[in-house]
Amino acid sequence: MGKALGFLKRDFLIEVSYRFNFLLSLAGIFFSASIFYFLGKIVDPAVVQDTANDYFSFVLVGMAFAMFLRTGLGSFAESMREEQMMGTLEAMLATPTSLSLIILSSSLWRFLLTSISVVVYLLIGAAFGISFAGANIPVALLLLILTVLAYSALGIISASFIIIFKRGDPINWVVSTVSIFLGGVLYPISVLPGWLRFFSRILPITYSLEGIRGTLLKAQGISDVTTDLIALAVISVVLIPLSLALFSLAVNHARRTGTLVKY
Amino acid sequence: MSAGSLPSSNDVAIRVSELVKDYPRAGKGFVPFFLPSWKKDVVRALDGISFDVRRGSIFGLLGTNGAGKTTLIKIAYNLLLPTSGSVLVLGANPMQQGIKIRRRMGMVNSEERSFYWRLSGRHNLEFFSSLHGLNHSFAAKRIDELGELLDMDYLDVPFSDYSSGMRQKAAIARALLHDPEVLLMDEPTRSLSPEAAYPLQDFIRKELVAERGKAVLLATQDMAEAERLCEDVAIIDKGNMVFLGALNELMRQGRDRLGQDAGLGDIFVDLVGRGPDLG
Repeated sequence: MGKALGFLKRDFLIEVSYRFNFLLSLAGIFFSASIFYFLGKIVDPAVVQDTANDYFSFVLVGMAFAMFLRTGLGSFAESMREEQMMGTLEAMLATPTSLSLIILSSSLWRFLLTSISVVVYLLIGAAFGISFAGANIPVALLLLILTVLAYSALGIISASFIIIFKRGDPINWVVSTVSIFLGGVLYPISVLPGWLRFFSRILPITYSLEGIRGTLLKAQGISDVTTDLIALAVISVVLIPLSLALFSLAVNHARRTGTLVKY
Repeated sequence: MSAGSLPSSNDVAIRVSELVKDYPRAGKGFVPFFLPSWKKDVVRALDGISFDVRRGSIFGLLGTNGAGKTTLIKIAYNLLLPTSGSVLVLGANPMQQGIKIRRRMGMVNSEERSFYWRLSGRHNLEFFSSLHGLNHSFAAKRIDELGELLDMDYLDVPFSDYSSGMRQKAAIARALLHDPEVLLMDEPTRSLSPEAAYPLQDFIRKELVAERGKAVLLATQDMAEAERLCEDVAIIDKGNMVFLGALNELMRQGRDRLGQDAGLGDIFVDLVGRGPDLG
């Protein structure tokens, strides 16, 4: 716990040393929400009626929670590579702290910033008239935790790739591109051809967004999102041990070849 | 040390036994990665190196660039796995007890980039204290103590404003945060002027070793530094041991061959066939 707090404090201090960065991120969220607010005025609400009341609320929730997808997928590999390039990884590994704890803790700040950004997205949505009355927050949080676990497992596989090959990680690229394309972030998967919808059903983001939209925008309860919860849990149970095994193999390979701190 | 003068296990801080390290030769593309290990072409970085570092002493590991000094230190830290042989630190094998043994070891290198330049020296040391599991109030006190001990009155200045000498002191302070019994130093005064290097060398010899009884494994190619600090030395060249023994003995043997004016640098060149790379 103390080590995780140490990482959070370090990253907070570095973040505040770049004062404009966070303000610009908030401004970016405001402008992208505004664009989708006006775009929503020309989209027929019937297109999204299964999971939302109108296109703006559909896309806002999709955009906001897809941020967790990007963070889960990318943060571990990015942290690893940043520490390698800054030259700090070796100094950290000289302490009684394991590489896995270093990578997980180095990602905490990114998850915290993502959470703040998502809350800002939802607040802007509320200011633009989206109603979250009746939102089932505990179930939405449960879905979110399972989503983060599933994408973090893919992120750990991605970090394993970076440990061995250093650059050009295909896992992050493929999974994030396919998830945004087929996962129902910007448009409902019902508009996709039938054969593409099959691929949507193997992506965690599809279940995550369906469930979160249902609980936040349609006041659905746990019984309405059971399929989504089970699908996310199964994906996490399969991917987490696989990702940890691959990570261990990658670290041992790097220790044998002397490339652990190289970039 | 030589077989005839083996120290007892209790006196030994670091024991290196028959250490061999092969690196796969760099290959391009994916094919070499998937080749089985017995088909990979290798470069031998360490070839059967053995020595002991006694507690309360400074052991010099001397060699040119690429001799294998850093490889050996990385194996001691479990950043690297040996091909065969072992390194025991305070009786424990870092491969099996890496986390436990790192509580009792400190590392100093000359890598200035190993700190966060946007943070002050104090914030850097606080962060590394947390990685050692030190609680906040204890760490704050310890950092003040080390600041005083190393004469660092610039702890609250951003690290990016530090000179090379100040950064090197910060690296030593970081290695001492958890008061380790064993210190591994990889060219700790490289890139420092003699005026900046001498006080640090005095600090290592007098304060850390003579006063506090720490064991230091010093990897260096600075012969003046080795002559000032080390009691025992190993000279390695391209992974092979060229000399192992007391510095006095090395000097005596060398002067017998080269004349009484010969310094450690001359003796090193005589043994290795070329001088250290001090650029």
